[in-house]
Amino acid sequence: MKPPFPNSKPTLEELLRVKRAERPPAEFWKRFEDELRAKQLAAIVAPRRWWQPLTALVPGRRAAALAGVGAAVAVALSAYVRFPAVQPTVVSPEAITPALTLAHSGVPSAVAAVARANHVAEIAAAVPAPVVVAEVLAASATPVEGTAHEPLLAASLANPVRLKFSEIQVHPPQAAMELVLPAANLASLRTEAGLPEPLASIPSPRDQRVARLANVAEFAMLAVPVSAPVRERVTPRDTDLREREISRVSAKGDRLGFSF
Amino acid sequence: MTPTKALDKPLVTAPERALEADADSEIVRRVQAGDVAAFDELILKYRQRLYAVVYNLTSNREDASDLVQDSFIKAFQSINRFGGQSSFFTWLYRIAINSSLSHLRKNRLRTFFSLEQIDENDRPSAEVIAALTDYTNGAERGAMVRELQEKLNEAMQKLSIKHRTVVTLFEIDCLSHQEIAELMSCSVGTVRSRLHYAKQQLQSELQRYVRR
Repeated sequence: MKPPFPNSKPTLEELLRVKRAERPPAEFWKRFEDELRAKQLAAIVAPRRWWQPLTALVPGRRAAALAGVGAAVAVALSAYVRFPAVQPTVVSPEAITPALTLAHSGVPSAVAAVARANHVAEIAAAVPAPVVVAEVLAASATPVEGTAHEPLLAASLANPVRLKFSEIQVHPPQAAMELVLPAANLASLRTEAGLPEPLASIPSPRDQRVARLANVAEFAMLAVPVSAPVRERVTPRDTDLREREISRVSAKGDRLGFSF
Repeated sequence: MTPTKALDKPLVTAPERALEADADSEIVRRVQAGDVAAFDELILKYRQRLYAVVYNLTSNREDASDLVQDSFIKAFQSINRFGGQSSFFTWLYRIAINSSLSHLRKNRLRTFFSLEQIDENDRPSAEVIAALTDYTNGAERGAMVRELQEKLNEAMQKLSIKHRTVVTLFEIDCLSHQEIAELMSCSVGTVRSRLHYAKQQLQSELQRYVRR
């Protein structure tokens, strides 16, 4: 049989490199360019999926799929965040401590009430049954003369999320100021406006002490997971808490102790 | 002069490729900044080489043309995601090769070969052809070259997709083992092993045309 190529045979590598010289004709590139232009335009004009820009954030081969899933999760999370009533809240002990310290340090009750307004909502949100706690607080709220926001505070505990906004909008400016201004500024403003000083209405150190201890009791009941039967027992004694001289309030486990 | 000596030099050397990569980064930055027309420079620069690779993988002109166009479109659409971890050339090649492999897997049973003209001005290949077809007249020589091309294409298509890709990138596009390993996301050892196996297969298929 006659060999296909009469002269010296090339090596495989040499033969393969012949393929380098295989080139399409010039007209092919003209058509190629036109088609590419059309495809490029189509790609620019074509609508892109809403999540496609997010693929830039996800590295790797599965960026498109991951970005789609991620976007769906983000939408679900944003819906979740928009309805915080169903959002579990954890209040750290550090959040409660300043309020307890304030209440315990003997500062005037109005200031303690402001502190309470700042922290009670967080505490109430942390308790599994906020409505029950609100009821307990409403029953045991310390009546401090001159603090017009007290009923509002107790009532708003049932819906802690709306607490601060509704206070500012619904109540007279004076009550709102009580919530946001330090006691010293408030006192000077009251004097300038000729308003009676609410702290002056606290008649004696004994009452102050009783009010203070009652505040501590309130916070203690919220800070420790007090069971329903304990709450029921404590609430009827609320009057006793104020009328009798309490020497000490203690919280241990799920128990509250009052020493008279 | 023997054909072997003429073919010793690769098409693009490593330093040239480094310079290319720098120039490409500049163009890519311009495109990312909104200069869409700058992408045309990249198309003009790479279309021929990309076409050669894809054509040798598919052995079909129309398929190769579509795949190269689609690769450029994909690169254009994703250019903002290109962070410069690899060179633009590697990135673009990876897009084209992945598209080609995906196309070949989908159309495994459909094979329409088409032959491209051999550029007479390409010196190395002209020398190989001259050595092969010396003392033959024009008409006979043309027929022999066509036959050779067909046999080469057939032999290439008998290789698995992975082996074909390695042979194409190494022998035809003159990429280094390292570059092929990066493109194919495998080790250099794997590239060497595939290349060795593929050459054995081709040698066996083309034994009538090549010397051992």
